[in-house]
Amino acid sequence: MNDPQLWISALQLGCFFGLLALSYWVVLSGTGFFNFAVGPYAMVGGLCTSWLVIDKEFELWSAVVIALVAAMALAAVTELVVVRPVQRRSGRNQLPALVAVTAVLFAVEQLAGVIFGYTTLPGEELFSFQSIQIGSAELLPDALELIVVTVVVFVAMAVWVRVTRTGRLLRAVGDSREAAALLGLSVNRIRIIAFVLSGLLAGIAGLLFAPKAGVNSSAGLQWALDGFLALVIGGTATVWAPLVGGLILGVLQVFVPYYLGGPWLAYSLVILAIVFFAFRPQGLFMRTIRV
Amino acid sequence: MTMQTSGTSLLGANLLSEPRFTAWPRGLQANGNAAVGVIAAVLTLVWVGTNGYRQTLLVSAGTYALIALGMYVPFVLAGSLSLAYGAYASIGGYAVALISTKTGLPLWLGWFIGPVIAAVVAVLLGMATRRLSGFYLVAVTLLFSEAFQTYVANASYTGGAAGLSAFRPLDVFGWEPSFGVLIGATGVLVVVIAFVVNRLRLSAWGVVVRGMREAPAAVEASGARVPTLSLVALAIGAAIGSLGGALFTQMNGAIQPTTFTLDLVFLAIYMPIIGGTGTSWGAPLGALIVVELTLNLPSLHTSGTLLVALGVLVIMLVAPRGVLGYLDLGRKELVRLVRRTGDRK
Amino acid sequence: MNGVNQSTRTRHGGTEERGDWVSINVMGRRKSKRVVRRAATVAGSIVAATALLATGTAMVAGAATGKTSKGSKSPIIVGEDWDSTSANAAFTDVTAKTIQLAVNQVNKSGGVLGHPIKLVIGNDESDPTKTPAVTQQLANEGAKFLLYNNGLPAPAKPTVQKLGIPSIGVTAVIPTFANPPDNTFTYLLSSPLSDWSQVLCGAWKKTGVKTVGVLRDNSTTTASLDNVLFPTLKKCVTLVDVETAPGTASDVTAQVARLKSHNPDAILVADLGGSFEILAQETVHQLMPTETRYSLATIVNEPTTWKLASPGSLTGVIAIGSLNPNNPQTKKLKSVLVANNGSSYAMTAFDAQAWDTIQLMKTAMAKAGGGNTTAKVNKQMQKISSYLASFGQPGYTLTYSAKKHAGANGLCGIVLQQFDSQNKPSKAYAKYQPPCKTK
Repeated sequence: MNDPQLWISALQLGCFFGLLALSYWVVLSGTGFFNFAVGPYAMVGGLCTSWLVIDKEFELWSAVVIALVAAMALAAVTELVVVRPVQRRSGRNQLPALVAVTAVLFAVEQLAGVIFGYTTLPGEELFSFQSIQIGSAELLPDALELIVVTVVVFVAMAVWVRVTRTGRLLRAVGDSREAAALLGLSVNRIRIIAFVLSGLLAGIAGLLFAPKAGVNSSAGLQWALDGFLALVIGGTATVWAPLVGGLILGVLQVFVPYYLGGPWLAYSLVILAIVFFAFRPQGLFMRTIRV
Repeated sequence: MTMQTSGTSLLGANLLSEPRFTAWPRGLQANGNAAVGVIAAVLTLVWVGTNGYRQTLLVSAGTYALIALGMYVPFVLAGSLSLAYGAYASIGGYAVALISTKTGLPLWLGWFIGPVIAAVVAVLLGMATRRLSGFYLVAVTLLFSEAFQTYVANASYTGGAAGLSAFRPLDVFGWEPSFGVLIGATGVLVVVIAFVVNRLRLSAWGVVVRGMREAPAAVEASGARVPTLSLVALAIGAAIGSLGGALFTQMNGAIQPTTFTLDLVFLAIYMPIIGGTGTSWGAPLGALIVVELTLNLPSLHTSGTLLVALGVLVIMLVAPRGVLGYLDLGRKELVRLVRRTGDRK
Repeated sequence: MNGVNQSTRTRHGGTEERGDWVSINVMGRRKSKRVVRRAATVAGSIVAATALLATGTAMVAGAATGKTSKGSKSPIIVGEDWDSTSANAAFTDVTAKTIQLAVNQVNKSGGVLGHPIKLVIGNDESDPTKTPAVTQQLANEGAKFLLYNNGLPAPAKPTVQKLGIPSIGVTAVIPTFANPPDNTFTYLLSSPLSDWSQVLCGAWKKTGVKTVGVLRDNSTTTASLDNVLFPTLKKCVTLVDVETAPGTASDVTAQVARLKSHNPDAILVADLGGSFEILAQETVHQLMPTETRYSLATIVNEPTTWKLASPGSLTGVIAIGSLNPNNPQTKKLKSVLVANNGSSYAMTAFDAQAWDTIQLMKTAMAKAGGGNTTAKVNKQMQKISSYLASFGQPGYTLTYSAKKHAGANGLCGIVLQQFDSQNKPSKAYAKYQPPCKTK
């Protein structure tokens, strides 16, 4: 428990999961829908950047911008071409949209394999500096960048949701689409903003996490699941809930294998999920609606 | 309320508000579908013949079809999407493998034990996730699949991550069927299961189960207990799914923890969507199409999974009734056209 | 009026008449909508029927065998199962490229007794459920020799046995493929795992390593490898701890921390190579910077993977490889590769094995008087003796026989390579190399 390297790993994983969970949160708040495709968006953010820099010899920051735009474009396409039409057709039934989004997940995964290749590419370090020694542990630059950017992003999101009109509308629309439409709020506009924003957040997450262990086209499904779990643990009450959920999941991912052995992570996650969902499906932070 | 013969479509606009009942035409439709299914199966078996490559394709298609049929039961009937089918297929497969390699018991016993264990596991999992729906159920069953795969990869008696192989040949009371016979039996098995599932769907029980999704109060009032019904649906689905695992393992003579992956489970969801959710025959048809796309198109070096994923999206957006649904509609339209011209005379 | 006509009907005609009645009385718009919808469904069903028909035809057509061109001598069809889409592409792509190069060279110098070699490619994605199907598919396309360029060729054995087509597992190291049962037609080039154990044990005895901690991934290949390797390794060292992590893991700090707590003399990393190997080595380097690290993985032969590692994190890793720059056959092949791929091409054992596979195949076919009689070719494979390999220590040869389907002769197919400060396996481990009886 006292090895600082373990805590650094947990923190790094936690921030990544937190950003993914935030990406889910934005879509969930704005549309009431769990967009599993955020996993592939993150993968594209990382893999596209690396591919452009390594294979096509782009300059780093142009590659970053292109990759993030690609992630946002994918998110927009998901909403406009898949989720909205399918949801319109299926009414209250959540399953068709869910199945459709998993098809999007696989399609993006496979397309990424075709375009970027199937081998793992190393992540791109945005700023290079000496790693920092903390006791016997080493804080690598990409870990520090991920942590700092995570904090900045969450603060920015907290401000945006409170202060800007769109931010406040986001939660209103998500709570009740009919009421929002009655009030004259542009539901569709909010939805597309939510999706595009989630694409951006996921892309940033993938980009910053890629240097840890490289990134390849099949990472999307696992990351989608990790982000979803983090969101469920933390809940949806405040914009900080996804971060708390992510950090908890990060700690679990590092310390359960450390104390109990590798297989126990999978066992404990499913037990945790069943218990959590049975007793506290709203997550740690329950949201009370002021009437 | 009109009586129409079209089956419930997953995305059909009227699915959720009007359970569709039929009297005389229902029987005809069900029998019609079964007839088409049997003919298709016979044609497929004839096409497969003794060609080894096609035989292998058929085994894959049969496995997918059974897993898809297993998922179809709770998915379309009870509206709950469970991703635990990789685990159920693994249970079926490992049952056969363990009986073959670790015991001297007859092999066909594995085919019975597997589904029973899968059903029990499904019921337990169903009880633990009773209150979950939609995304949460998907997430939990996904985690369960991973936990099960991890368990099988680490347990000593399952051969660990290397799996089990080198089975004894299947012997039913002294008769060792040849591979060709087993291929034929595969076709028969899929047809029988599809038939049974379709009958279930159209039976009084199936109607009640479908009704409970939309009007649970009405179903409870009629005396049937909703939770029990869901568990029964889950158990049946898991048992059928495990038959798929047993089939594949038996025919290929080996199994590893990674044989029935999550990708396969997602493909299995897509099969009824491609083939048509209105009838259980959509699942085997979808399986044939998916096998064709993922295994039999040598010109494409890219993965067939891409085609399947894109195809599913196109179908869900443009042709939600799937292949069989459209054929069915087309048939009815033709009949109407004929009737109309007949009436005008 | 409408109410009357909404009485229930049980025949097909019922809805139509009611619809017409309503439309005549009330909304012409509804009627035109029905017409449009009807047209759409008829069109849709025609599309669906066509799709079904197309699928059926494609299924039939997909099984068609290749045609031979008239005039020039008919090509000998060789099937290659190349997994180009899974993580194994890290090494299969290199192998495939050199296979193609070798085939081109053979064809340029007249082919096999005048017949050109034609490669047909399949892809089982290293999925044991697909290997039999792809094998069948290649056979259907007329393949008379099979090359397995994937993670695990063993699942193909029953099918290969049935088809009777000579097959080589180009880069496979697990001996299953060449061992009974079902091995009449199957062959391997690489040194068997039992040799690996001997070399590792030799190195450990020499350098005083008594306790070893293992970090591995959870893949089937690694598990099969370990099942063969560990029993023999346990005879010379104590395996104090074996930690397993998922191959897709993005963090193995916990597993390495557990290994560290056992304080082993050396760490052994076993996996499929690629990003897991890099992650594992980097984490061990972070948590145990002075520990001696060994690698069972193919990393020594994956130049693309070296780039994944942060600077200096691979320095000192001792890996089981098979390229000794002093081997004249290796030098010969290297110049061919450089001529074709540029001077910065980093040669790997995969290149050597790919090249040698084609030479062995060509020899067997030529001696059999042609590539199309698989039984004769198979017999000739078993008569190949003392073939000078393009890998291993100088003088290393491969020999096959009816009972010996793995070609390795002795331990010197193996070279212990060591990574330098540039993360490249440029050195041969100075403290120990397997003893070699050169002929």
